[in-house]
Amino acid sequence: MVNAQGNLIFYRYPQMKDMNHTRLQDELSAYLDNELAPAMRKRVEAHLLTCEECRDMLSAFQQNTQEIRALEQPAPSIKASVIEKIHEQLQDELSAYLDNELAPTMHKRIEAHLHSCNECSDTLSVFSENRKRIKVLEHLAPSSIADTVMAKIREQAAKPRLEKSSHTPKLRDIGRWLPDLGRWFLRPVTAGATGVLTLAVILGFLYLYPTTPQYEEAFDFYFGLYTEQLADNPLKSNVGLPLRPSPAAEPASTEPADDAELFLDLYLGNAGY
Amino acid sequence: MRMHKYLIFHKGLQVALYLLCTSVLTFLLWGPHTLFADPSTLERIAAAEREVSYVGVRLKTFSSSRGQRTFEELVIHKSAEASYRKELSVVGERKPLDRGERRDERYRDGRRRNRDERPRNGREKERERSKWHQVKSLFSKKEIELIAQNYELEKSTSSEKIANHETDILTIIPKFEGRPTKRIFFARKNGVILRVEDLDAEGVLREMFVYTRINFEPETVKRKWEAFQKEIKPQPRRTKPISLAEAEAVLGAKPIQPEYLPPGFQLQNVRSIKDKKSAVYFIYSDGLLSFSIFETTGWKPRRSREQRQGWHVIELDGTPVHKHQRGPTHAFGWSSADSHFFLFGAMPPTEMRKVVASIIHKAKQK
Repeated sequence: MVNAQGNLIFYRYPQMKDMNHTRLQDELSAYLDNELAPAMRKRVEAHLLTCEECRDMLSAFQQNTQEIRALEQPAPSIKASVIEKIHEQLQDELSAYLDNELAPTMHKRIEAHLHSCNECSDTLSVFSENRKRIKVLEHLAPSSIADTVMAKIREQAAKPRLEKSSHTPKLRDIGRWLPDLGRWFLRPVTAGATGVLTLAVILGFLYLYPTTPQYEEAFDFYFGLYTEQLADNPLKSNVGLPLRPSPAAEPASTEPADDAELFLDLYLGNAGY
Repeated sequence: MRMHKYLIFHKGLQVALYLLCTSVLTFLLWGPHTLFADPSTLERIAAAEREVSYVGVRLKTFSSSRGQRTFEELVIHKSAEASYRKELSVVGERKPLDRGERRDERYRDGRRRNRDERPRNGREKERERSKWHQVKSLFSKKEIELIAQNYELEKSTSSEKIANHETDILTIIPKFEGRPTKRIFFARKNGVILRVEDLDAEGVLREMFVYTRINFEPETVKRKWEAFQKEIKPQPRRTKPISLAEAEAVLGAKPIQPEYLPPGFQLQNVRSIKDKKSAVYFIYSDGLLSFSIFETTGWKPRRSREQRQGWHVIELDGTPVHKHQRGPTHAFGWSSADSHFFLFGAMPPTEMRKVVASIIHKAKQK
C-alpha cells in the first residue's frame, strides 16, 4: 500500500486497513463541515488520496449539502406570497383590532405588522376616521317607535292557535313549501325513518296477507289426488268418454265460447280445411 | 199326453203354469245380472296380485286429446303393498296434427308455461319419471262386487302367448251407455295380469300395457328386490281412509253428499288428506269408472285475476260453477253454504252436472 507521500505502508493485520477506512469514512461529514482536529484532518486527506470510494462519498456529501442549503433558502416568490397571505389575514382583522376585540397575541402581531406595513397603517387610519363620522351621525330613536313595535309583537303572540292552523301550506303555495319538504325528506334522520317505516309496512303486509292458495293451485292439488287414486290400478279406467264426443252426445253448450278458438275454427272452415 | 190333457182341461193349473213361466222368464230378463257375472275369475286375479311376486318389463301406451305416449316400464311386485314401477325409456310420443300444431294452442301453452310459478322443465320431468313409483293396486272386495254388478264378465281362452306365458282373457263389458270396456289378459297358470286394454265407450283402444318380459321365480324377485331397494324411497301416502263420522269431525259439519248418482255408482271410499286439515274426499265408483268429490271448509277460494284458458263459468241452480276439462277428465269447482267443492271425473258432462246440481240443491236445503 502506498501513502500520500509515496511511502509504502504495511499493515500488520489484513483487517487493519478496513478498520482505518471505516473509521475515516465516519469522519467525512465532519471533515466537510470543517469540524475536525488538524491531525485528523490530515489523516482524512491522506486517505482520500488513496481511497476512491471515500472520494466518491465525499463528493456525494458535498452535493447533498449544497442541495440542502438551496432548500433552506425559500424562493423569493414563495416568500412574497406568504407575506402577502399574512398581510391579507391581518388586514381582515383590522376592524376587530380597532374595536379591541382580539386576543392579546393577535393584537401584538397586528401591532408589529402595522409598524412594517404602510398599507395596513393607512387602512387603519381610514377605519378610525369612518368611525368618528358614524359616531357623529348616531342618534337615539324616539321611544314611541319602540312602544309601537313591542305592541305589534304582543298582538301577534296573542293570536289564537286556530288562526295559526289555518296557515297550513296550500297547493297554490307549492312553489314555496315543496323545496322545504324535499329538504326535510332528504335529511338523514327523516330518510332513515321513512325507510324503516316502509320496510315495516311491507313486512306487515306480507305477514297479514292471506296465504290461502290460489284457486288454480288448489285445483291442481286435488286433481293430483284424483289421478293418484286412478293410477296403476288395472281395475280402474279413465277412458269412459270417447276422444271426440259426437255433437249428439253433448247438448249444445250455453257456456261462453273461447273467441280465439271460435274464430280459428271459422277461419279453418272457410279455408276448406 | 195325459198330463197335457190334464193341464188343458184344468184351467186353474194352466193359469198357474203360465204365471210361473212368465215370472221365471221375467226374472231371467230383468233380474239382477250379478247372477250371470261370475266374479270368480276377477277374484282369482286379485288373489294372484296378493300372492304372486314377479319382476318384469312392460310396454305402456295411452292416448288422450293431447296425443299418444308409449314407454317402457320396469315393474317389481313383491307383494300387494310392495309393488313399484320405474320408467325405463320413452318409445314414442305423438301429437295429433290437427290439434297439436294449432298456433293458438301452442301460444297458449307457451303463455301457461311462462306464467307457471313452479315451471317444471323437461329435465325435472325426466327426473320425476325415472324415479320409482309405488303401484297402489286396490282390488278390494267392494270393487270386485261393483264391477260384477255393473259390468258383464266374460272369460275366454286366448291362443296368444304373452312373454311366453299362456293366457286367458277376462272381458269386462259395461251394462250402461258411455262406460268403458276392459280386457284383461292373465297368465293361465297363476292369474297374474300380463296385458290390460282399455277401450272407450266407442270401442276405441285408448290405454294398454303388456309385459314383454316377466319372471315369477321367487329367488329372482328376491335378488332383484334387494338390488332395487337401495333406489326405492317409499313415499308416505297423502290420504287415508276414514269413516263418514270422522269426515264430519274433519269438516266440522255434516258432509254434503250428492242426491243424484249416475246409474250403478256408489260411495266407495271416504278419505282424509294429510296436508289439509279441513278437507275430505269421497270416491264414487261403478267398479271401473269413478269420480271424486273434494269438500273443504274454512277456505275461501282466491282466484287470480287472469283466469286460466279453458275455464268457463256456468250457473247451476243460481250458483256459479267453474268448469274445466283436462284430458278425459271434467272438473267442476263451486262454493255452496260454507263449503267449497271440486268434482273430478271422466264421465259425460251431463251426468256430472246433475251430480253438481244435486249437491248445490242439498247444500241450499241445509
